[in-house]
Amino acid sequence: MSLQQLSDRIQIRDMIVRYANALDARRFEWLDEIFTPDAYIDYRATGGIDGSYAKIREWLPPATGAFPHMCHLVGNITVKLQGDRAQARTLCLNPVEVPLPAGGAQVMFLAMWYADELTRTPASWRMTRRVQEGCIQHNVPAHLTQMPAAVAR
Amino acid sequence: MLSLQELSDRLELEQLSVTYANAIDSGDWDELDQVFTKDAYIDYRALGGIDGRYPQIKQWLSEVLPKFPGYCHLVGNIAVTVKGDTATGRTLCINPMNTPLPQGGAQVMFLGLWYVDKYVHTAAGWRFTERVEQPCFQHNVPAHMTMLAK
Repeated sequence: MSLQQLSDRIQIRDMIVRYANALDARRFEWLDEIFTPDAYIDYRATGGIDGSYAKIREWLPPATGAFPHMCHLVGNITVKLQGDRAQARTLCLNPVEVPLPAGGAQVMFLAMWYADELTRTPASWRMTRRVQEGCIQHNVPAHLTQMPAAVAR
Repeated sequence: MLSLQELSDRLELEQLSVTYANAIDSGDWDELDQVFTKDAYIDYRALGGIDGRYPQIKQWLSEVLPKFPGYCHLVGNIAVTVKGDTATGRTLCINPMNTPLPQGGAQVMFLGLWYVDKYVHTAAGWRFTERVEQPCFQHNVPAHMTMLAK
């Protein structure tokens, strides 16, 4: 691998980690430096919405605000570079603490893949597309009925 | 584009968190001498542990962790910012712990936490000067483990 390829891979991996940290630390403004303004994002596999980055950016704070704790552990990051474009695929293990209507809380475990498309901009690599693919859902509280069953694969 | 030096620093800093996890999971306490500076400050209070300087923490780890029949520290999401010979960073850890129960048997609890870290580049390589736990989720914690701060 050339220095350029090593650098690209590390910078893309950094961005994928920074996305997770932005959500987990509730620093949603960091996402402005991850997505292009017209990026398409699809969270429907885990019960979310899809749409443009602007719409998602507005949706995320209240949608995740109900959860006292969550983390997005990313791994298995695979990057395919094609000049100034790239595709990436990332596995994410996502435990989420969910308050229960009757009091207390329960931790549900979600797993999903992110299928990403990226472009090199003068500032840095940016995501132009991020689509979730469902994997497992474990210990989901009964009241969270909006979550679709894991996508059959 | 990242320079070779930047890439090298990144990989060495990431390896430090993996070496830490492997040393703890294999009970190789002396290996931690290669991970922390002698006077590093470590704070495990977020998950019911202690805080203090490295020698005290090393001793504590070697006494407390063998009480658990099995555990692992899966680290990921390692984010670092390097400034010359120092660096700061954040690492996520998912930590299943097989926990003995007072009535016999054991139960696996799942803890999620972040490490908030400071690093320094020494003549021997990068080392942690500070590692502070921040709690995330706790799942299946046995009722008697009230020491876990919530």
